[in-house]
Amino acid sequence: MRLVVRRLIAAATVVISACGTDSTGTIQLVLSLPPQGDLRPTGMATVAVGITQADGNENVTTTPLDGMQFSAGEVPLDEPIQLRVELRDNTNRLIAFGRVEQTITPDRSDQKITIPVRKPIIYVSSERAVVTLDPTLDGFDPKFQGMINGTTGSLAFPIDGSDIGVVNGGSLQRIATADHKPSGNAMDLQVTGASDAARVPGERRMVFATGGGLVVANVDTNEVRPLAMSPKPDRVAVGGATGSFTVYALIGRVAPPTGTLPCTGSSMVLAYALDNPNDMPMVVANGQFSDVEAAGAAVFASNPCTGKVTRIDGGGALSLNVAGAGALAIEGSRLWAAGSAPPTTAQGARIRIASVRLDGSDAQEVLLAPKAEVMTYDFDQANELSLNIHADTLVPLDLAVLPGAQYIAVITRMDSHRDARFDTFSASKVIPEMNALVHDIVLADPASGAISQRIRAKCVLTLIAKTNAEFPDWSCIETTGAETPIGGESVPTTVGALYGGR
Amino acid sequence: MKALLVLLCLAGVASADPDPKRKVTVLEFRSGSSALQGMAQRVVTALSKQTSLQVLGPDQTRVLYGDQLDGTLVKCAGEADCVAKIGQKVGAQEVILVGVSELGDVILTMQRIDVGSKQVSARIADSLAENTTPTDAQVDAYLQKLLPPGDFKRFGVIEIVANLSGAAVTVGGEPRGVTPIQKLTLPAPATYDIRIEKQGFVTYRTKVELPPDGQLKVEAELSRRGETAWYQRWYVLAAAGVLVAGAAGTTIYFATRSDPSDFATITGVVQ
Repeated sequence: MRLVVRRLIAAATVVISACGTDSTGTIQLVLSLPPQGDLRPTGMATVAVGITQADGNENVTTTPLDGMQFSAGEVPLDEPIQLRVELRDNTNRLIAFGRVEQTITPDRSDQKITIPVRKPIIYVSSERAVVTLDPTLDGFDPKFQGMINGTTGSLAFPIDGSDIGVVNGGSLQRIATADHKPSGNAMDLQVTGASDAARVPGERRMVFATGGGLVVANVDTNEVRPLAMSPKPDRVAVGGATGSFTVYALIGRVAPPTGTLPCTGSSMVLAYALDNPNDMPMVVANGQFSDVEAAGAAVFASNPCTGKVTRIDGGGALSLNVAGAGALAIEGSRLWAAGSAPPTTAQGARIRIASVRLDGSDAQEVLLAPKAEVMTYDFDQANELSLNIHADTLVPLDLAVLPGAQYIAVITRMDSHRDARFDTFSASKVIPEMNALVHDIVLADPASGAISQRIRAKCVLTLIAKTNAEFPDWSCIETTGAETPIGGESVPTTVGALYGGR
Repeated sequence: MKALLVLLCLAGVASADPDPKRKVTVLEFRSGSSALQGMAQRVVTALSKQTSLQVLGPDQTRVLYGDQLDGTLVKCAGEADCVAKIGQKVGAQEVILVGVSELGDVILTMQRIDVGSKQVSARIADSLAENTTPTDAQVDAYLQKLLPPGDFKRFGVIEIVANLSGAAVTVGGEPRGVTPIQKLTLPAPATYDIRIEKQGFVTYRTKVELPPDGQLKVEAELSRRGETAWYQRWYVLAAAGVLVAGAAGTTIYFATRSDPSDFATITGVVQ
């Protein structure tokens, strides 16, 4: 009897398998969220699956989550696709993102693909510990800002959905995005002074711009090799395609001018074959460049002196006017640039955010709100005596575009100088001469220019010849609430977003 | 909160039922105070979350109006007639003017100015102790007093398409007619059980979560009882599916393929 039952079960299994596979294929996506804690997205109501086909067109299917399951339509067989997923809450706010890093070719088999899906956390580096910002929360939420322990003085760069890389001195440590804890052993980069990093598309290799040249690190095998010892690069980008990746290094970065300084300096972009270290580097362009980005065969650079973002590899035509262009990022099919707008008589300088499709079409620009900083008189117990100092210059230091471009994160620097002010009748000095230097981390909506959250990272007010002034002692106003940086003031250096562009 | 100073709703406007999707611009006017920084932005955030209004924040308004916005606003000094002209120029039907001033305490005011009549249709003011910031719940409470209740009711649209006519449609337990049926506008966010049934056919059932300002499309294919094998019905159900067009207006098209062997079906699970 048992034998008969076993045979029946076996026969039934064969029938079900045949029916289940039929002549069509299936792709089961497993969206793997962090198992617990503040990094686990909550409140998701819909899932959007974006399928990009070889021609670059993307179709997005949005469906409600039925329990924790969803159905996302069909894709043609035997045509390579790329997949990304977005989880949104019932106000349509993006609360988590995931991407399949490799190209998939659907076939008649049953494929199961696990995608790490994470909140689009922003990582800010400074001389203090790496700061995290959770854009799925309101700025007033005490968990909006966080810190990664043990990362003092480190530079943080997203690697992929699973890990970020944190460089401290000559050491690279992976940090798991699921819990922000170290993952694997630290790697010795054999050089120090990392200033930028770029990921090799679709791989777990990173290229670092360091004081000792360009270094390539494979975070899975711990293999580290130098690509070029000199000249010293300031920014780096990786373009090309599998098997022929090219590393673009910006040498001699020309920063957007601050205060009354002129826009000076010269720089060049060199191209290195990633996997052929014996090939001689090629000069792609000479100019006054502040940043470089690459996508496939296209290479873009920003020139803060001419206020232009251009394609510099000679292919295609892309030229975007972005005054004071200081930082670039590529997210999806768009190139993003952060620049500056000068002050007016009644308002301070502003940040401008421009974007354009990679083919040069559909240019857009928004201006963020004018920048000013309040300085208060130290000995006014009523806290009423204050100066609202407009920014003479406001420049972007680094830019990150969150997945789907729902937000941008930008590090800004404000410089202002005010001459001393004198009493008209007595000619006595009332307020001393002063210089203000303010660094902010700004989270903004790139569609409208609305600032979602500003964190004043550091404010330094320098008073000059103050002793003979009637009101000699002034300070930056104390920040409150969400504008106060977690862990104290520090000068931010880089910003990156998980699954975002930088 | 020390005291609620003034709460004035002009009946004439409050009794009207304004368009819950009208364009509203939120502006901030400061009278020598640096307190409550970012108050207008918090109002924008709250309105965007809780209403279907098209909300322009101060920065968006500045982009449309020009850099002279702040100077004009100062010159207006809170006068409704003058502020309404700003709203008119940016194409808004209403202006919500958030005012911050200090008279010992910090005085926070919110005025709802009707651009057409150039008059204040509702006003609320609160006195806040020094260094006090209103909580999100307080901001919500201000807005619920300032705006008509209809603004806080949100809707989504469900479109139901079936492969046969005369099937009875039940949504959320209520009969809604028979197919072909017009699009249904229903309160959102909410979850609805949908049932489409006709004698002699397998009943189609699904549950959908309707997001505010979203549009769902339910494509139901009812099979004749006993006509199709179970796994074929499974395929039909999986392919029929439910489609959502988000508030951002993403265009979504999900066709039921005639030849299933050329396609792979994507399903997923969140863990």
